[in-house]
Amino acid sequence: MAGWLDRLGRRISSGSSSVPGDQEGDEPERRRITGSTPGIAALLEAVEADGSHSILDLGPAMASSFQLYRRFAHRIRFADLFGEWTKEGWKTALASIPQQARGSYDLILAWDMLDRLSPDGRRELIDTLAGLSAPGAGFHTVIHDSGVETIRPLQFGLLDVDRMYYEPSSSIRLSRTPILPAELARLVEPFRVTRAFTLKGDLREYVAIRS
Amino acid sequence: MWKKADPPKEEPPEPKDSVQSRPEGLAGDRPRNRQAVAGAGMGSSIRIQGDITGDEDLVIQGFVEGSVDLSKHAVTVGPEGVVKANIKGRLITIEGRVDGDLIAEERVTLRSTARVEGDIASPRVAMEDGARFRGAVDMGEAPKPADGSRSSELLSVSTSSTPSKSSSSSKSKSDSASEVRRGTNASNAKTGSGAGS
Repeated sequence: MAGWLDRLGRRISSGSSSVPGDQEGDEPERRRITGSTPGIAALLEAVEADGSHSILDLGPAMASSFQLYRRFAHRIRFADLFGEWTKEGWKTALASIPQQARGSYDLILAWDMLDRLSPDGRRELIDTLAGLSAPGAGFHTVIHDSGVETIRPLQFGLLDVDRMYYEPSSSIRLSRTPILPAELARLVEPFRVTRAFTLKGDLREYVAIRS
Repeated sequence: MWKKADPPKEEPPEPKDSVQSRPEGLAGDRPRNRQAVAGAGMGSSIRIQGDITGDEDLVIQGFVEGSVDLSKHAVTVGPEGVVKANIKGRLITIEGRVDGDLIAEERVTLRSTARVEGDIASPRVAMEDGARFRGAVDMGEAPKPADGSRSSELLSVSTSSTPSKSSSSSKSKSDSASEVRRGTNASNAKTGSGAGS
């Protein structure tokens, strides 16, 4: 109740629209959700925590994630595809990964990047990631349930091998082409889906292995 | 009648390793008094285009474009510092903005106000919550698996509150192709903890 009144008060004071369905300009709801991530647990369970791995995280750098990654990896890249760094967009950010990194990553965390892209963009992203990863590499992604038509981009952080948090990274709502579970299995080829989990917040997470 | 006064106790000696004598603190040991750090300082109004080399520590609060090579010394980019250059140092601490690679012989620390775009090469890297970074972190060659003595703590002096993988991960290893399992609904909110470094 108090939270609802608080949000209402902020909207009135800021004069922002509260019309449902606003695509932009809606008040950012920076609510952080913490919960379990069985997908990450499954992904990391398959590798030794010996610092010998190479991790590619497509999201922004999070200190807590970094702390966890360095238990497993000696090379860690935060690509931050939708960050503030490049105005040219995610393709430029992805292309900035050096060519010598091709085939070198054995753990890739794509978070909700597939959800943010068009069908063509999704295919292009997967093809690029397939080139950056070695056979046997692990792949993790999070997508919204297929019934969700608009999404807020999320940023994720890991608190432990089986716990994460996420929160909206922007107030903008994006329209999306839903991804059905069977479509996702085809979409991520040559990564082969091995595990899938349902999370709170209308999210599903998938673990796949590079063929 | 009166209790005899105790002889004055000797004050413990001042630790030799004071902030003033340390060019750069360990992670968790943040020298707030930046002015006390030994070495050269570059004020916020100073702009340098060119290469910086030398034989002492350096604190940059201004603008540098070119290169910074102080391989045996500590380099700090303060909150007002803007550096468009690769930085080489023994210890590198970033509180401001850097567009360039960071190469440190011992450690790189990204403070919460840091904004870095570039690659980092250092045996130890610490990142504070709030630091913004895009690029790769390379902490050297992969450890030899037979050793077993190396732990993640060797990679950074920052302490981690997270338990070991073996203690917290308890999932089955029996994966099968195309298997789709209904996982746990994420519940219980231990909000926002452990995100610091």
